[in-house]
Order: sequence, then C-alpha cells, then structure tokens
Amino acid sequence: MLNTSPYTTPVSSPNPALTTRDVTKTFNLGDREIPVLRDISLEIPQGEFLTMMGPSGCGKSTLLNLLAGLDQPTTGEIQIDGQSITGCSRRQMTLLRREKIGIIFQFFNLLPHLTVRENIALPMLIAGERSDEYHQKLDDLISWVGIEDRIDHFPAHLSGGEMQRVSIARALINTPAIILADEPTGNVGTRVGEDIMRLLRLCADEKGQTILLVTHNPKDAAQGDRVLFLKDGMVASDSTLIGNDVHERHIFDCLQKLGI
Amino acid sequence: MNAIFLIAFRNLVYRSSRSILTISGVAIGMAAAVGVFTLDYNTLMTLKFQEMGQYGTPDLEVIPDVKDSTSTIQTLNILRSHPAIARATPLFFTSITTLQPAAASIELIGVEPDASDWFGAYYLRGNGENMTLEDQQTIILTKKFAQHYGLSIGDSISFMDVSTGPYHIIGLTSNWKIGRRNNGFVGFIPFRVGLQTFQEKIQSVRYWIKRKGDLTVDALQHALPYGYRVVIPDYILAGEVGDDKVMRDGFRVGGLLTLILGLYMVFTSLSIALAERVKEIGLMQAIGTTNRQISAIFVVEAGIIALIGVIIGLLGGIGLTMLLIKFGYSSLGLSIRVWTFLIPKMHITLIMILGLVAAMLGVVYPLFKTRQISIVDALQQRGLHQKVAYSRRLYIVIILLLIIGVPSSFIFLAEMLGTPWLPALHLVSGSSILFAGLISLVFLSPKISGGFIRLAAWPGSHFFRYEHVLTTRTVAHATERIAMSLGTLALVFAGVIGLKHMTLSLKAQSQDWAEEALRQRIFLSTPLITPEEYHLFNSLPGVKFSIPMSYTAFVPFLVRGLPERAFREGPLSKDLDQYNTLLQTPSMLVTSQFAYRYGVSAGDSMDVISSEGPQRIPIIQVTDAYGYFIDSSDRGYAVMALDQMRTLFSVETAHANQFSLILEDEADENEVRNEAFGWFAGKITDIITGEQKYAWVVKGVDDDFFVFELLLAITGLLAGIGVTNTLLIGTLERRREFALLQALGITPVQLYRIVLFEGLIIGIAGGSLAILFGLPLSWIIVDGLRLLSDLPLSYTPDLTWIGISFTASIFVSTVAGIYPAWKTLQAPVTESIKYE
Repeated sequence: MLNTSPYTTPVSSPNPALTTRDVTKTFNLGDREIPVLRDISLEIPQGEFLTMMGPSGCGKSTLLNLLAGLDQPTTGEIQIDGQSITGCSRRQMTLLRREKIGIIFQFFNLLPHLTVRENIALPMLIAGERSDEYHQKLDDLISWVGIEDRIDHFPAHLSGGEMQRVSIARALINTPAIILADEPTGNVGTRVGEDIMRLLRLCADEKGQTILLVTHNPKDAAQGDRVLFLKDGMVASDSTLIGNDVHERHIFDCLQKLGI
Repeated sequence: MNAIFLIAFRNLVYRSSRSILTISGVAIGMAAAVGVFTLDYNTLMTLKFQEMGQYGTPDLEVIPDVKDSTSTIQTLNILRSHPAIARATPLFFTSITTLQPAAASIELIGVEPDASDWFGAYYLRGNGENMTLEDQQTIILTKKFAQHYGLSIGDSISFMDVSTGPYHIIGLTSNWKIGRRNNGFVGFIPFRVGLQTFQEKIQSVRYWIKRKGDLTVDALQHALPYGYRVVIPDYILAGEVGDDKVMRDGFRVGGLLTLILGLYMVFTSLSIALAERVKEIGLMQAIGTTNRQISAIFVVEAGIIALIGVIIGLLGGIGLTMLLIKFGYSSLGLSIRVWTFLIPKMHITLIMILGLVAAMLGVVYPLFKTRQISIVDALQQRGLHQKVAYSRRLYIVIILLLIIGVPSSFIFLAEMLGTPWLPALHLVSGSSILFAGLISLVFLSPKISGGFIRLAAWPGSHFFRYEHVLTTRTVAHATERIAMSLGTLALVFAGVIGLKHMTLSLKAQSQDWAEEALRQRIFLSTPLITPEEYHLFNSLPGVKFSIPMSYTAFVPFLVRGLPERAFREGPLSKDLDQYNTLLQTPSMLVTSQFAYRYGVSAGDSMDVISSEGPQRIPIIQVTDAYGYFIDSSDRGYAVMALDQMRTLFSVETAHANQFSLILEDEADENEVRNEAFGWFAGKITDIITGEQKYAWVVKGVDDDFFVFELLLAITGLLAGIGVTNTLLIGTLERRREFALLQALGITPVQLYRIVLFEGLIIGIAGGSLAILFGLPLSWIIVDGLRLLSDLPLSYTPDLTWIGISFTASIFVSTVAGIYPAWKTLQAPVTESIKYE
C-alpha cells in the first residue's frame, strides 16, 4: 500500500507552521462558564510531526478546532504560517482551510451521497479546479492510500478502515501545509491504524508537511517528533517528549507522572 | 459550478424518496391550480363564444323603448355624433315562419350590410365577393337553411302574416357567428326595409356600439335622451354574473387554496430537510466550502425540485383539464359543455412563478440560519435541528406576510389582471389572518402545540403503553417537526371544512330558491306568438293559468313584467293592499338575490330610468315566487305589473315567446307537459317541468360540485404527503433509537406501532386544530362569497362534515406513517448504532 508520495511538496516558509499565544477557550453553559483551554502557548515549526495526548475532556479536540479555524479562542492569538487568524472572518478562514489545512476526523465525515472518488476530489471541486488538471493527482493519491478498487462505491459500502483512508486522501488532495488529525485511528483496527500512522509519517518525512495529531493511543503518539501532554486545559510543558527515539514506555511514564 | 451541481444532484438522488415526495407536493398543488384555472378559463370562453356566436361582439348595446323608423334615424344621428363612439349600427332579431317554400321557422336579422366588417358578427360574402343587401326586399340566407329547403340564389321567400311581397334571395352565406342562431336557419335582410316590413313582429331593435377609448355605460346613458337604455352585451357578462359567477369564484378559491396548501407543504418539507443536513453543512465548511457555495448547492436542489414539480404540475394540470372536459365538467359543473381548449397564459405563468418562489423560500431562511451556527456544533450535531429550522423570527415574518403581504399582493395582482378586487378582499384578508393565527399557535407556541399532542395522546395511553411513552417523549424534543405536521394537517382540513361549508351553503341557497320558484310549474319557449295564441295554454288540463314571461326591460336593472293574473297566486294573493298597489301604481317586487345585491328591502325605493325620465319605484315585497325564467342564470331581478311596465318603459307586449304555466295543486307536472307537447308540438321549442328543473338544480349542484370534491381529495393527498415527509424525517432522527430498541428485542410489529401511533396522535391533534380554525374559516369563506355573489347565503356549521374532516385527518396521518415505519425497518441495526 505504501508507495512514494504522489503529490508535490508544499512551499516551505520561514515562519512556524502554527503558533498560539496565551490562547484560552471558555464555553458558556447557561449561567456557568466552563474553561476548557487555559493559556496555551505553542509553536509548531514547519514540517514537525507533533502528537498531543491527554485524558478525555482535557481540551485536545477544542485546541484542534481552534487551530483549524473552526472556532475562535476566547482570548489569545493563533497564527498560521505567521499570519494571525484570530478575528478573521468566517469566509477568510474557510479559504485558508481550503488552501493550507487538511483535516482528518475521527468519525470520517464523508458525504454519503458521493462516491469515494468524489469524496476525495471534493476539496478540488469546490476550489473550482478542473478535473483534467487534478485527474492524475487524484488517481495517484487513491492508489497511494490503497483504495483504488473502491473508487465508485459509496461510503455506506465501505469498512471503517476504508472510510478513514478516504478521509485521509481527502485531507491530502490539496497538498496542505498543515494536517490536523483528530484521533484518526480511533475507529479502526490495529493493522489499519498502523497503516494510517505510516502514511502520516511519510507526509511529514517526505513532504515536509506539518502534522498535529491528537490521540489517546500511546503507540500512535510515539510516532511524533514531539509529544505534548494536555491536562486540565493546559500544556504540561515539563512532560514534553522530543526525538525519534521516543517509545511507548516513555509515553506511559509521562502519563503516570501526570496522573492521567 | 460543477461541484455545486454534482453535490446537489447527488443529494437529490441519495434522498430519492424525500425528493419524490417533495416534488409530488409541488406537482399536485400546481396541477390542481393549473387545472382549475384552465378549466375555468375554457368554461368562460365557451360561454362567451356561445354568446358572441349568438349575439355578436359590440362594445355596448343601446336598446330604445320605441322602434319606428323615425326614431331609428334620430337615434343613429345621436349615436354617430357622439365623440366617443367610433361606429354605431342598428339591428333587429325576429323569429318568423316562412310561407313559401315551406312553413319553416327562420330567424331574420335586419342589418346594415356595410357594418359587418366593423362588428365581425355576420358574414356577407359569397363566391369570394362581398354581397350588397340593397334597400329592397332582398335577403341573404345561410347555406344550411338554403340547402335544407332546396333554395338557391334567384329564388324568392315569403313569410306568414306579412302583407308585403316575397324577399328575393341574392346570396348564400356561411353559418358563421350569428349565422349560427336558430340552429343555423338565419336570413339577413336590410335593416330599414325589414323594420318597415316586420315592425309588428320585432320585439326590439338594438344599436351596436364600437367605442373609442373608455366610454362607460353611465356616460353614454347620460348622453342619450330618455327612452334609451345602455346595456353591457351578454358576451361580456357571460359567466361573470349571478350563479355562474358564484360557482366560478368558489371553484377558483378552491384551486388557490389547494395550491397554497401544496406550496406550504413544500416550504415546510424543504425547511426541515435542511435542518437534518446541518452536519453535512459543517463538514463542507470544515473542508473549505464557502457559505455562498453551500447556499448555491441548496438553492440548486430546491430549484431542481421546484422546476420538476412545476413542469409536472403544469402538464398534469393541463391533462386534468382535458380529462374533466372530456367527461363533461366545467367550472360551472355539468351544465356547460366546454368545447374550447385554450391556455390562460397569464394565470398559468403567475401560478408557476408562485410555485417556484415558494419552493425557493423553503431553503432561504434555514440557510440563513445555518450561517449562524458554529462549525464545531454542526459537526457534532448538538441539538441543532431545533436551532436551524425553528426560528420565531421566521414565523413572525410569515405571519406578517400573511396579514399584510397576501392582501397587498392580491390587490396588486387583481389590478394587473384588471379584475375588481374589493369584494374578494374580505375573503382573502380574512383567510390570511386566520392562517396567520394558526401558524402563531402551532409554531410560535410550541408549548401549546405540544399540549395539543399530549392531550391527543392521552386517551391512547392505556392501550398503547410503550408507544405512548416513547412517542410522547420524542414529540417533546421534536416540537418543530411535529409542529410542521400539525400545521399541515390543520391547514388542509380547515380548508376542507371551509370549502365544504361553501358548497353546502351554495346548495342550500339553490334549494331554498328552487322550493319557492319552481314547484307546480312548467316552463316553455315558442317562436313569437300573440296573446290569442298563448291563451290557449290555459285550456290545458291541470293548468290554472299561463303567464307570458317575455316582457323585460333593463332600467338599469332587469325588470320583468307579468300580467295581473300572475299575482293572484303566491304571497301577493294573501295581501289585498299590496296586490292593489302593485297593479294600480308604479311599484315592484324584487327577488331575494336582488334585495341582497342592492341592500334593499320592502319599503325601500329604487331609481329607474323610464321613458319619461328618472323615477323612484317603491319595493312592496321581497319574494322569489314570481318570474323565474328557464334561460336565465341571474336570479336578481324586479317584477312589475305588465300594465305599469308598459306605461313606464314603453315595452312592446304584442307578442311573447316564453311562458310559465301555473298548475293546479293536484296536477301532475309530467302529464301536463306531455299534454302540452301533444297540443302544441309544432310550436314548442323548449319545455321543462318545475320538478325537472328542481331535480336538476339540486342534483346538478351535487354533480356540479364534483370538482370541489376532487379538490378536497387532492388537498387530503397533499396533507398525507406532507405528514409522510415529516414522519420520514422523524424516523431518520430516531434511527439510533429504533436500532437500539431492536437490539433490545422490540419486534417489527411493535416498531410499526410506535411510528403509526405518532401518526395517529398527530392526526388527532391536527384534526382538532382543523376544527378550531376551520369553523371560522368556513364562515369567512361563506361571508366572502356572499359579498362576491350577492347571493343571500346562509351559514350553518355542518356536524357531519366536521366529523368527516376530523376522521380524515386521523386516517391520513396514520396511513402516512406506514411508509416511514417500513423504512425504519430497512435500516440495518448495526450500521445505525455504529457511527454517528
């Protein structure tokens, strides 16, 4: 399944791919305020594969949503490739996502009435690209994720693993500079999960794409260049793991230390 | 654009059952409205063409009290010198029997030959050339008459009871337009010569006017000396007055109501369908689709649905019209045989635009709302259905549109179409306000509509235990969706109650009138005969006396003159003072429709234009007992003593051609009818007994109103489609719940019962609301029709039809649940539980 990546390298930039400065996020439930993120300050350089772990409800997905521009922080600033997105209009964020960000969801989020091929091509379609321009790229990507025998099927006829591959391919079709993955292996089997992680690793290694992966799985987390831990809405900065030799047991040790 | 069309098209195909249901709603509503307006247009055109064929197409007619030659020249001078009259020509019509070649009944029409091109009502061309009727005793016959009697150019034809010599046949012409009168047996003679020859046989001379600009009846009436009456020609009034107008108005109201209900159903279906796709919208935004692109997708979907529905509806409506015409129906029931097939382009275009706009509006506001929802919430579908589709502001806008926008649009459209709008405004605005009230109750007060549901469900709680628990909890969380169903049912069946009460009141009014005017009578028509001849009718066994009914004047309302003998029967016979007053002084009786139309009663007076000038004539009684005529659909007229009428209006009374035979109480109408035929076979051209007419009126009303029943059935079908749609959405929302229940051991039959129970309680609640709003709506419709028709319609709530509507609401709603229940069982349990 794993071949050389078929798509071109995204243009590199001297700015960090993602930066957050004192970002907080508070939700209002009736008359209560629930702080979910507190003073998150992060810098993710271009091409880094950052994994983030934390218990349920610690704010991982919320942070991911903020970084994707799907939501706005209560306070603080977020920058993508040196450009602040805090206070951007919805339209500006939409176009930014189209050009620079690929999102991989835990629950796939495929459009049920489009075929596999159409689901993957969707970002190109809505960007107004002509099919003859991206046709080859699409075919190569389909082949790369290993879904070529299902391209005319609808999502209802796919397994979880197949759907996640489609979701990944859709996130990659526009060659985004940044890939945000929210527990991509959460709903698939071990074998498929391993394949997905290898795909993501390739994206970072060969193409220099910046990847932020949120996960519960220590094995997946260990794939990252850097592992962050989120607890009670804050980054446990003294527990960050860095380097290629990060192993599962290091992850477990940190989790234990943090009492997660 | 490719992406937009691809996604829109795919979505329609993916949700095919919903798409088909929504398209059906548009199509059915459109078909009903198109069918109604097309059938009505063709009914009207048939009536008008009949009148145009019989009586030509002048802009106005002037009828003098006197018809001698001198006054004709004077009249023509006056008319032709009027600045607003482009052309004036005299005519007369008379039925006469020929002497040679054979005793045949022929209609003689006196014309000015050079006026034929102006008025287009007769055709004096033969062998490719114009024929000239010289001012001599010359005649141009229709080919049908000539062929029938073996006549040709150069022959002569003479007439009975006329002292002058024969008329020479100088030409044969086609049976075109007024050449079709008298079954095509027509002869055209020079007006002046004919007036002198047949003066005694001519009932009235008419002057046809072609006007320049907007010369009105009143303006011309004031310009003429006394003794002339200006009337609107029959072809203009055909179908636009009296009972005909009432039927047509009611028919069109029914069609519009069906269209509105269909469009409302579509509007709600599209609104709520969008609400269930919030997650899809969030996803599209997450991957970079702008709001404009998302809006475009849904607009394209709505546009495709609307376009397909409108086209199918248009074709279906035209097909429905063809079918109804084939089976003898018209917008006036079975009494008119429609022979035209024309498309009323303006009306159809407006209906199509309305259909497209309503379908598009169904997506506009929910799309607007989706922009305000956070993408994260949309992706996680946190309680979004309520937020997206339900908005108090949307329904407040709809309510304001109903209260202000609908009446304003109606006035605007009526002005555009050149039809009077004031009489109908009461009906339109009253109905709109009532619908606004229903929408307020159902959509702005979810607690109230929820309360209705709980009340409706309560009786079943003992028999449907688990269904009751599961369904009422669901309903409490799905107030918007339930409100859509409730609103649909309540609107449809309130409309059914309203329409049915309208037809019942029309029927009751016809029956009331018929009871008084038709019993123990025979009505017959003959060629013009003298008093000596028609007095022979009095000799028929069983006949008390006969009354000539031919003496009429338009003053400016219709007045009929009856001989003194007529008033010895009926209500006037019981009041000697009134009897004497009517015979000895200028006074009149008026029918109930007349009294209602003009807002008068006994003791009031009416202004008339007599031969001597304006006068005020007192009304001594309101009664329908006198003066019914078998060839008139307008029952609004006054009755005077013939002697008084002769004096006031110079009415010619030497001949008559319509008679009413008043029978003894114990006489059998059919026997007398047969006897009359035996005695006067050669003379009677038309005869009907009062009983036949009464049966025709009563049964005919039922048959005539078949098309209303059809409309009611269509609205019921629309209600069913609307409820099916919303129940389908409900089953989609509850997919995980049903899958879980199946995993826990619920059987398919039990699942069916849950869905059907929801349909049942919605039906009960909807039916109850239908009664609550249907009763005042029915009153508004009947009251509005009173104003439109000038008929004294009575209003009585009909418990039978209220019960039928309530039961139908339950039936439709329950049956509408069958398909959604079946769909529920098709979804695999594991798939439903597995993913979001």
